[in-house]
Amino acid sequence: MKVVCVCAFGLGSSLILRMNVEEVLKKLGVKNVNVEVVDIGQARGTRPDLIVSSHSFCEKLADMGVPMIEVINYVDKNFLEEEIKQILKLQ
Amino acid sequence: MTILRGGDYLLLAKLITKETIQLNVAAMSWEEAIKMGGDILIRNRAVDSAYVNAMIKNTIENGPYFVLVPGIAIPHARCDQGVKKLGMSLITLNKPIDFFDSPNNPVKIVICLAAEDNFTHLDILKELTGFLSNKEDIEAIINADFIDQALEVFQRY
Repeated sequence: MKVVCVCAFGLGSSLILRMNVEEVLKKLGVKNVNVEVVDIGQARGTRPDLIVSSHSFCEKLADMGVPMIEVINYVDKNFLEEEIKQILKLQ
Repeated sequence: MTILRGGDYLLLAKLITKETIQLNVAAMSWEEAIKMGGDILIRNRAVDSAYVNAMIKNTIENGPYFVLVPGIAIPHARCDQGVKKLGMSLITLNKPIDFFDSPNNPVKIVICLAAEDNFTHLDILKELTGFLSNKEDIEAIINADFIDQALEVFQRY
């Protein structure tokens, strides 16, 4: 499974997101998952199973038809955990 | 999440110093706030003025996504847009400001970040994430009237 964290430059907020997403996935015992960091320009070139980002980027990528987690508070791991649990159940 | 007290902010303590912090700054707009944080980076030779303009342009183009948690904005731009060396500045605003329609408005702390590349500052981000998750430390910075009070937050051992 490929998770992609998106931000403007791939060197700030998406790195924080990746750290937290990886922690949550580890806690939930999810295996075989790769969490990548990309900037908004590269995001379309990937074929992710899940996109994690903030509102303006999720909006821009909505037409990709990929499940998304729209993050408001970047350090709220409980929110991430709940969202990831929900999405994985659907798959 | 257990938060270790000692040595928590080893790198932040080096980057956030009396030269790079300003408290209760009067800014009338998000643009002015970023400019003020950016000017500190320029004075400390971390970036040139092109980088400050890039941070502002980034906000207009990509929205206020870098207001990552309630009240705290972390503006930044790309390393090739004027970064000379790794640097951070921190300003607190005497009046909170909205950054467009960010769900984490209004902003009270603006931390401008200049990174040299995608990897070297990963440790800084880990420490920064620790700070962003620590409500006590955030309150201490917001309520600090004197620079020493704010610096204490990052230099506790």
